[in-house]
Amino acid sequence: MSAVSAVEERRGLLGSLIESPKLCAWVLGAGVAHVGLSAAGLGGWPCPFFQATGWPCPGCGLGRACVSLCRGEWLAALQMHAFAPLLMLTLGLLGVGLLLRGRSRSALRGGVRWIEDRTHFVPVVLIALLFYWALRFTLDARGFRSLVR
Amino acid sequence: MQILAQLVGLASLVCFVMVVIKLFQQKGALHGILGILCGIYTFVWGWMNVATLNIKKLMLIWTVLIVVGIILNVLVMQSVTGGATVP
Repeated sequence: MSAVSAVEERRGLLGSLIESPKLCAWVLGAGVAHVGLSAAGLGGWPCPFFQATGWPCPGCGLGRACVSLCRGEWLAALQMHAFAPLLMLTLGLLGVGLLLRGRSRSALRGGVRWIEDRTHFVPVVLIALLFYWALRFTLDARGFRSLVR
Repeated sequence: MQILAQLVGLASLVCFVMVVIKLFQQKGALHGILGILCGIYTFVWGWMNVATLNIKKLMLIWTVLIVVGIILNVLVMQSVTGGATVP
């Protein structure tokens, strides 16, 4: 890893995303398009892992879970993917980061970085997501597959 | 149709893995893991760094595969729901 990457790693994931408004805007736009396509019943972004193997990846079902959340169907959303509320919060945070300008954006970035540095919640959430994926396979692999298909 | 969708998916997975490797190399483990979990992030990051990483061909192929994948998905879904019986 280069020195610059090492510094970025220390800064934290969300902080560095807020620092790149262009990347943020495109990811948010693509995410909204994906949720919109899912809501329209057109499937949205095809997961390459699922398409190739027939097995869901850790993120499979998040789009449809977000659609259910937007419709107010909490139980259905949590059954589809328990991390959907967290994803919506993160996307909301990135959206706010895009809307803010100047000092406000710097303050938000600083705050997020401060929390990330002290709690390490991003790596914890990412690892928890991998465990959640493995747990779903262990408990009911067939049900999991048919749910996110 | 489903076999074709699977082949497109496999080719798309290869492109995805190649871009994720670049993401790991350039931005570190956290961004790499996010890239694995969120293909959209990898795709957008790939296009934003297409010139610096010299991966224009790879990204173009991946984009075409995604578009073909979306179309095939819709066709497969239509064929599945068309054949289903609603109680």
